Amino acid sequence: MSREPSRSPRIMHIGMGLVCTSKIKDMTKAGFHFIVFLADWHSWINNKLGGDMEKIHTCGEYIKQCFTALGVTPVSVEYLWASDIAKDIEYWEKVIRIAKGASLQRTWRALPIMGREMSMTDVETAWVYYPCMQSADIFHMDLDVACAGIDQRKAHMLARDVAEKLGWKKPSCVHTHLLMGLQGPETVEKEFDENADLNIQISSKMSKSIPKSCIFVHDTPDDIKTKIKEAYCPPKQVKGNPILELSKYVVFAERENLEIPRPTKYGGPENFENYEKMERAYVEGKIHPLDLKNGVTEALIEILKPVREHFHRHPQLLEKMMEIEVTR
Amino acid sequence: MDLEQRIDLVTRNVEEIIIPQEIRTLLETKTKPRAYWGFECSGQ
Repeated sequence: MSREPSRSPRIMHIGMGLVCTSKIKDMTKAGFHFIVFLADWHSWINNKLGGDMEKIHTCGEYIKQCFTALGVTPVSVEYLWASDIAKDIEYWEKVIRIAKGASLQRTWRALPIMGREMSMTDVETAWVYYPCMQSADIFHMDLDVACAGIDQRKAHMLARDVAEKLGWKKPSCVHTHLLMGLQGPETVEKEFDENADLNIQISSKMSKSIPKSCIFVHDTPDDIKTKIKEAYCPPKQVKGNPILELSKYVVFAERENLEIPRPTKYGGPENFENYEKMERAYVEGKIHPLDLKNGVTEALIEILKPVREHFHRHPQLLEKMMEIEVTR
Repeated sequence: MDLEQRIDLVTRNVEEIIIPQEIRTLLETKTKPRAYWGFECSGQ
């Protein structure tokens, strides 16, 4: 048996790895043909991984392997690269039509998708293509529904407006919750959206730039234990509680129940069949934060087991990603 | 799987659906509707 890697790449946290894959699995179960779109060109525009296309492709393959291990397999979904559709001249015609149909101000407003504060001087012109390409992707793949985290809603609203203007099929949208970082809610310093609650959600989201706020899909059981142990988890409180969020959006999204290992003198372990019941028990003080943390820790370790096992058997891509991370 | 179960799957745990009635109509009328999620290759 080969040794587990001593360091794991901090590429994919469970906000991406589990919230997305759970929703994708819901969609395929509901009968959708689902495309996991690996946006290599967009990553290049956004200067991800130094704008190095080879590294970007390695990362895309890594995402595909992580997702496959988590049950989003090439049999259940279609994996498609942006560079596959970018070969088609008709795709670029759509990009231009969209750019002609939307004001620069409108396109600009759809830009915070790239998660940065903007000032004219440090924005490359290429970035203006980004929202136009995001819309063109939707039309070119002939989609009925666009899924993304709620922070992408402006880009999708642009696509809907453009669709109306150009007489194209208007995409419906499914916007998912952004998992809060383990440190709890943050005060809003940057404005991402006009909506105050959404601003807090975007400011507080799990971010790989703050490793302690994140659980990564590769984290070892010990890492998971330590991070959750140190996480913010106010007793009897739902709002702003990252551990309750994990139980709702990750554990109950993936499993039928959650076992809370409570000491016998406080009633012994209890098995909850749905989130609502468990939340009620927590608010009533029947579950101590420590017991909630222990239950969520064990469930997460189990849920992420297939990723650890996959890369244990096939470490090549993981090793490549770790090299990229070192040189980044 | 009946229509309501399919709608529940699509809408559970989400922040927002634009627009719920469109999703209902879509699932009523199309057997294999098309959906996507785009990912930048860098994590998120």
